[in-house]
Amino acid sequence: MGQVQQRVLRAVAPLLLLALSAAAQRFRPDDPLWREPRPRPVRQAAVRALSDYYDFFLNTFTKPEEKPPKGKTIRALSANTLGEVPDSAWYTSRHGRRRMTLEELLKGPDTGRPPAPGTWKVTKVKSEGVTPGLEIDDPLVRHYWLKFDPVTNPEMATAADVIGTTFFHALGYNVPEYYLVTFDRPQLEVAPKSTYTDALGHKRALTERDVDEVLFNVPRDRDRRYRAVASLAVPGKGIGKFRYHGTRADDPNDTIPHENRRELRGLFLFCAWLGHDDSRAINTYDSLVEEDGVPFIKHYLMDFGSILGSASVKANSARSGHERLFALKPAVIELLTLGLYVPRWARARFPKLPAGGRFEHEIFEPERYKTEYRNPAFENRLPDDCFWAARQVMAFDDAHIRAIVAKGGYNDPRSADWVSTCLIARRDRIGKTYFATVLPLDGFEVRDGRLVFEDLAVLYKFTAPREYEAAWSRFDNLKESKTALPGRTTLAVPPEARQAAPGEYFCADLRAADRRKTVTVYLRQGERDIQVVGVDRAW
Amino acid sequence: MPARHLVTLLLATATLCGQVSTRAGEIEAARLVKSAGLKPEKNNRVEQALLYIKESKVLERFTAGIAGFRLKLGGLVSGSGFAAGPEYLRRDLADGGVVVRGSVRASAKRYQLYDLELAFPKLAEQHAFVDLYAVHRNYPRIDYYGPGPESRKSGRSNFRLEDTAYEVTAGVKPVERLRLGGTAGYLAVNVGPGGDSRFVSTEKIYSQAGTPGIDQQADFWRGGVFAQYDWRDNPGGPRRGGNYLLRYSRYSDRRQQVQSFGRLDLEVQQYVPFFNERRVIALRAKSVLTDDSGRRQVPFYLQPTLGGSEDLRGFRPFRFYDDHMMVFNAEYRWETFSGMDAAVFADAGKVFHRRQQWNLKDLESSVGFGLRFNVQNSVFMRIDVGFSHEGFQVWVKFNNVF
Repeated sequence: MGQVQQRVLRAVAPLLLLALSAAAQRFRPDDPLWREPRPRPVRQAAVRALSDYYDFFLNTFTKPEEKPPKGKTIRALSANTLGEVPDSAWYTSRHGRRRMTLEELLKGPDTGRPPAPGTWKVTKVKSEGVTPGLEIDDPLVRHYWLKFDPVTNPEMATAADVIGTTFFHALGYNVPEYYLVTFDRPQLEVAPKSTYTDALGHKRALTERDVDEVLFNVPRDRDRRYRAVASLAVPGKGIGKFRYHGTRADDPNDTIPHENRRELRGLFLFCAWLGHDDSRAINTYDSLVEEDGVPFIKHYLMDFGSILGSASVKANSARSGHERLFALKPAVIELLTLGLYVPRWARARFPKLPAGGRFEHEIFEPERYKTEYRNPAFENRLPDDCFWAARQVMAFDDAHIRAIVAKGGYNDPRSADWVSTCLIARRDRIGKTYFATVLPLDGFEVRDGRLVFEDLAVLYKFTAPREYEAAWSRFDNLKESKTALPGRTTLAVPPEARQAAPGEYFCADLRAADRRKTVTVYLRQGERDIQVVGVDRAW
Repeated sequence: MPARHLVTLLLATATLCGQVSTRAGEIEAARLVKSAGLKPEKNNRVEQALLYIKESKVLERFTAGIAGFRLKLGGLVSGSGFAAGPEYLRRDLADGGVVVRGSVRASAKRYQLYDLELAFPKLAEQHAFVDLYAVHRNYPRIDYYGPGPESRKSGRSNFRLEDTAYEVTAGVKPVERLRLGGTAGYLAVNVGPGGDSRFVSTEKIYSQAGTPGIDQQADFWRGGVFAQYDWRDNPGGPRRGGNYLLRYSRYSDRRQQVQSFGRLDLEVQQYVPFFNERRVIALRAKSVLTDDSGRRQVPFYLQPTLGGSEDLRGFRPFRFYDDHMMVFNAEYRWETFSGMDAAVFADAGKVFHRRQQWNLKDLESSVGFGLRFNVQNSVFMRIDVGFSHEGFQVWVKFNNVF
């Protein structure tokens, strides 16, 4: 952007803000918005590395997220007026909005591009760090990362990666393509001019021996082949990670603080469900991509090798998901009681299934789930964010879950069964928990002159069928005020609304037995029919 | 502001005011506002520094040094005080197949150590190893309290221990976790007056009769065999598994033969986890038995000892010397948070003169508590406080006790 334009924009900005406030109204003609407008082009974006130590200290000892004044809340800003998340560079509604077929679910992000058979040229070796791996080019010169399982837990991390990718894709996030592969050592060949960087940063020519050293610590299957998960390079130019708070200063499309994005707040629940306690900036990825001729920054989640019962290089600690890496209070309690106080999670039972790691469902309490350290977006979550996410989790039926878990390629059927059983039980625990924190009414529409909806707690049999009370009002869209329509207390749309002029708004406050939990449904009279344009939840 | 800019501004404002009547327009307007203030994305200085440290591998280079040279901390004998010195270490030779290491270390109490090592750790596809090692030690104030379990705390003296050893170790790893091997080498020892003026020098109050080798030291040919089966889950901070070691060494006095002896080291470590490995009972039994074949004597400076940070933690280092030793350690360890375990422990052991005394009678004991700090489950520092009938000791060590 030219300097003149920048100056003009700076001058316009206050006026624009004034215009925005002047134009304040609850609903706009194009509400509810299901897709964000085309992004503004991003011509330049800095490649920015994040320090995981900084991220840990920042989030452990400070609270970088925007916090509301005492007694107030900050509702999610990225949701549309129905509470749904429009498609954007962050998120694409998939299984949660329209049930995907089993085939679509299993396909996930894959575009059918596993490494092609033939010789794979090793371009890089990662022998240091948490997870050793290789970078390869296949015969079609496509670039992949190969990641492996620990010797103690064959299949564990690679299965977690594939299963996690499939779930997170269905849940709406951008994820890389992951493929399970097996190969023999002769299939690998060091690419010419490849270099190896040792632990001290010294570079030298990569040798076959370096590849062997990585493979020494990789388990082999019954056929003596190596199993790996091959991750296809994400399209575009990688520019680093995104944080779970604030915005990128050089991205014009990044206007909502990340901690206030519903898709990142609700991610908490998906992580709890799938045991992703490692959900932090280091496991994200920003890529400068170009779609429809517009370059913009697309946001990815990646590296799911440490979800479910896996900690990538070993089975998860029983502590995982229950305590943070460092938390003063529990540490002091454990220290002073000489360890005689035994937290419930330490007594959890795990079957001896190396491929399953340590994953369980009996003591799983979703609202008490903890990531390794604070995630600002997770900390800002509200019951309506969790309801949005819980509804998506519940959208996976048992068959979906078992099929996706089977994609992990467990050889021992007991492992697949256990992981599936845990996910099914954890899913139900999530539904039961979060469909009780708000009045879980969903799927609103006007049919035959009545406001109809589903009570998800009833649908999933967490509660018995119940009665609802409605209180109808006329809604002033500009003043955002309600005027009650006396006597209109049934689910039938009142005649005032049915006979209203186009552009008039009405709303119904719905309650069940617990009167604190309210759902307000907003209707707008259109040219032809009356439409649901907004949903508010109170708890 | 030039007129054309003003026109642009007014046009833009008018357009935007029209746009913000829609939700999409509102989003676009917010983006436009942000566009006006775009700045290069960059980290703050703290994060930049942390990134620099990581990406430039500052810590790795500091610990690894420059051109192989680095600062080596500690690693001398218990009671030597803070020690440091330059070390030359190369693990990158022959693709990691050859390791060269040498160091010169000295402590605040003037303890000195010079060593040199050449190792081939990955022979035969990592199934065999050879290690050549030479070391010279000059420890000016090693404590000595007299021979046997009845030695008195008040009998504290000190001596200078100087020795030079050359040793070759070779072994195989026929199966995972099992190491079999042998050693051969040469050891030259000199004992002199102790350098700690607070205490009497050993040779002034102890005689050759009770303290063999005090008058004259020997040089030894040393050879032996060993077998180790190690199935600990993580040797740096084990939570389950075991480690079993058997080593026999023969010391041949190459001059007088009177100080020749054999030495058998036995050690069993067992880790019993419970509550999903968040609690661990760690057990260790260790014994050293020597064979002095009749009139021959084990020189006191090569006798097994007890006391200090590694065994009887309620006693001072080298509190007990004799021909044989046995010690038992039991620890109850519990995780307080991911980076720290706490422990309570009990130690019991004794030195003894005759092998017939290899029993559980007359054991010295100590109890205590400690904290174990770890990074990625490997202990890098521990603080132990041990109590015994001789008082208490505080140990700050940069290793795992077992």
